[in-house]
This record gives sequence, C-alpha cells and structure tokens, in this order.
Amino acid sequence: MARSQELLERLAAADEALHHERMSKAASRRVARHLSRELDALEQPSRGGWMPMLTFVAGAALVLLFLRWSTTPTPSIAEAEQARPEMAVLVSGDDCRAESAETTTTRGACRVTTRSPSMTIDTIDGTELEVAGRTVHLRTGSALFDVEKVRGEPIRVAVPQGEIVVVGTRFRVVVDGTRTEVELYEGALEFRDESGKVTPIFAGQLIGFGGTAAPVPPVAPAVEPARDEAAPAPVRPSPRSKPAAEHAPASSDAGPVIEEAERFRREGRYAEAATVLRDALKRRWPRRTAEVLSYELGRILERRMKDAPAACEHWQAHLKRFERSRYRARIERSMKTLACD
Amino acid sequence: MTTDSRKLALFDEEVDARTRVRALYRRHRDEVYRLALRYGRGDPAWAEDIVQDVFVKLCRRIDELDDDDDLGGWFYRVAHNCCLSRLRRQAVAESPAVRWLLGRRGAARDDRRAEHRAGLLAVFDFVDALAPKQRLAFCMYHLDGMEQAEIGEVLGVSKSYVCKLIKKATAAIEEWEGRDGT
Repeated sequence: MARSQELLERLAAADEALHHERMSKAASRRVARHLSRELDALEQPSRGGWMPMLTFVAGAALVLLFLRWSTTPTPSIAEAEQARPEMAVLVSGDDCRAESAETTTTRGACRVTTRSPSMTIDTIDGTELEVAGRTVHLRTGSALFDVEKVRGEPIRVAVPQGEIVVVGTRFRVVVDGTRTEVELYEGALEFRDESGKVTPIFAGQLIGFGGTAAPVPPVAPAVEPARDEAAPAPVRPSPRSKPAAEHAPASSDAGPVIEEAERFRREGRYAEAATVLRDALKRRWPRRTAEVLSYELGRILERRMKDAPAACEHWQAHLKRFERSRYRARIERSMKTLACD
Repeated sequence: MTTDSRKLALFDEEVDARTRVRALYRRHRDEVYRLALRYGRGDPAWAEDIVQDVFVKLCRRIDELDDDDDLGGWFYRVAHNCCLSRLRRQAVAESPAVRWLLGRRGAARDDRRAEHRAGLLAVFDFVDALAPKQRLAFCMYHLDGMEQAEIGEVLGVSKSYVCKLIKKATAAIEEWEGRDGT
C-alpha cells in the first residue's frame, strides 16, 4: 500500500512536470492554420448540394435557350434604355449648383440621388462632385454616401489618390487638397490607389490617404433623406444629420475605454467595468463602437452582475437606440430568459 | 485594420466565430495540450492531435456556446472525451489481432515514446496498462482531485460506475506492483 502511495506521488510529480509544458510555436501555428481552414469550410455552403443545384441550372439553361429561340430577339426601346449602364441622377438642395450633360456635376451643399442602384450622396459647401455612369468623381470637399446593395458592376468613387469600390454601404469621403479621408460606418470597402494597391476598409474605421492629416469637416446634408422618392424633400434639419454628427469624433478615442473595461472584466471587477462603459456611452461614438460598448455593458449587467432589472432596462434602451442591431436575436433571447416586460 | 478597430474586434468577441475561436485558442490551447500530454504519455505529436480535435469541435459548436469566459469546463470535458476516443482507437489498433492482421510490430510505439520523456514519464507505465476509461477516471480522481460524480458527468457515466472504474484501476495497479515487485 505504501508503494501505491509512492507511485501516486511519482505520478503526481510527473503530471506536475507536464504542467509546465507549452505547445511549440510551430505546432501552434500548424493547428491554427488547420482551424482557419476548418472555419473556411464551415462558412462555405455544403458540398453535398452541388448535384441538385447543377441539375437545376442545367434545366434552367435549357428553358432559357428554348425561350430565346422562340421569341423575337429585338429588344424594345424601353428595354434598351433600361439596359444603359448610366444611372438616373436627381440633384436637389438650395445651395446647390448642378450641370447635367453626359455627366452630372454638382457644386456646394447638394443631395444627389440615383436609382438602379439606389444611392444618396450628401455634400457640403465647397464640394465638387461629378457623377459619370457608375463612377463618382469627388474632386474636393466632403460627401456622405449611402449606397444600397449594388448588383452587377460596383459603384466607384474616384478621388485624387485612387478609387473606392462600393457594393453597398454608408461612408463619408473627404478630399482636401492632396489628402483623402474615408470613414466607413457600415459594410466594407476597398480603396485602390493609383498603383493598384488595394486597402480594405472595415466598419468603424477612419483612414486617410496621401498628404498630411487635416481636420475633418462635419457633413451637413442639404435635405431630408428621401431614398425611395424621386421628388426632392423640403429643406429642413435632416434625421440623417444626427448619425452624421454622431460620427463626428474620431474612433481613435475608443482604445483607452476598451482597454480599461477589458482589464476590469478580466479582474472580475464587473461593477467598475460597467461604470466605465456607462460613462463611455454618454459620449459620442461611431455607431458600431457605440453598439459594441452598449452590448458589452448589457452582457456584464446580465451575466456577471446578475442584475436582471438593470439588464432588462439596458437591453430595451439598446434595442431602441440600435433598431437594426446585429445582436437583436441574442438580446431578444436574453430578454425572454430574464422575463423582461 | 487600425489598432482601435482590432481592439474593438477583440473586445467584441461574440461578433464573429473566427475572432472568438482565435481568442479561445490563445486562451485554452496550453491547458488542453497539457491534459493531452498526460494521457499521451508526454508525446507532443499525440497531444497536438488532441488539441486540433478539441478546437475543431469548438469551431463546429461555437454558435451554441454562449459565454466565452466560462468555457474552462467545456474544454476539460471535450479534451477528456477526445483523449478517450483516441486511446480506444489506439487500443484497438494495437491489439494483437489487429497487429497480426496488419503485420505490424508493437515495439515501434514504445521506441517512439522512449525518445520523448524516457526517465520522467516511466511512472506512467502503470497507468498505461489500464483500460482507457479506467485511466481517465483514475487520473481525474487522483491527479485533478475531482469528485466521482463530477467524473461521471465528464465521462457520461454514473457515479457508481466511476467508483467501479477507480476500484478496478487501483486493483490493476496493485497487481502490476506485485508483478513488478517480484
């Protein structure tokens, strides 16, 4: 029995020795690469579905081929006009000067609305912009773009340092002499400079190209948003101007807040983490930053502090503030669990 | 990505699965690796395979797991189950019948093991003689100080069965000792 005890002690010592082992860097990287491939594979649609899809596509192609042969190949004038790549452009705004020929050029505080794809561009005084087909040339000034999901050829925003490729998003571009700044609120963008180098831009980012940093003027939209209406709306302070103003401070302020809240969270000082986040949320942030901070505050209230009334109140305020919150499903689930009113 | 965007993405670990898996991998890989080393007798390649298996399972279940700060128990359980599966497969592959059918010799594995931690891990020899489930129950009980009911939860068996596993393991070790002592 004494020998059993001795064996157990030796076993515990050997196990203790193994506790100081760490994965080698090479092995860690190898496993990480494998996990990355695994995640890629999980994000892809399942491979088992390709056979029915292929059959469907082949069938559809045969039907289209038959229809094409059995109908007249000449398109109507209306169809031919619709097929033109140019977009219908509508310009409005009291302090706006616009010229339309083959392209549309605007100067001053304007609202430019296009259809197919649906896009709204709000500019401020001193901005010069030209819409030529699916390319928008921003010569100088500041413009806030709100672009619906683009099908087919993307919209391109040409600036002196290159171009921004857009497939549906909301962002602001400021061209000031030799410098261009792009601030992205939603979606994703690519910036291609003159040499062809591509820089991806993610939501919440403010990126500058060329020259030296210059102060970023706020965007003051000329008119109320009227995305789906052909007629321009009357001039009055726009609801769109609120998010634009909300985005006015640079996102670079978020770092210390995140670090502090993260530190408190890791140390288990949840009340202090909640206070940091609560204080931070009183300030103005880019929408994504504010949403993440607010969601994190809710999680701390709900899961760490187990303060159901405060969590309920916070989640309700969160959903009210971020109506299209990416966390909506999770929050609604939480509210159901917490039995919030 | 700017530093702040990166910080925001890391802070907001629930947003996308890739970021969460990456953060969890950084946080838990070493503890899974160490557990796997224990059951793989200190063989790094064996332990790396277990780490990979555990985190592949994580990738597939990430959407079902809610609280990233509280996944220690999940990793412990899954790591043990992965070890158990692998030990069972290994036991089958190394059974005399399969070795005879495949024309393999049993010494190869021992040689490979000897390369790793010959001196220190010789003590694992007697644990090695146990059946996989007995081995896990025995180690969890004696090395991790877990209760029998907790071990039952991890292995998916009843508390009384865990008690039986530990008793059998102890008896086997005593028998091994007797053989070794003579």
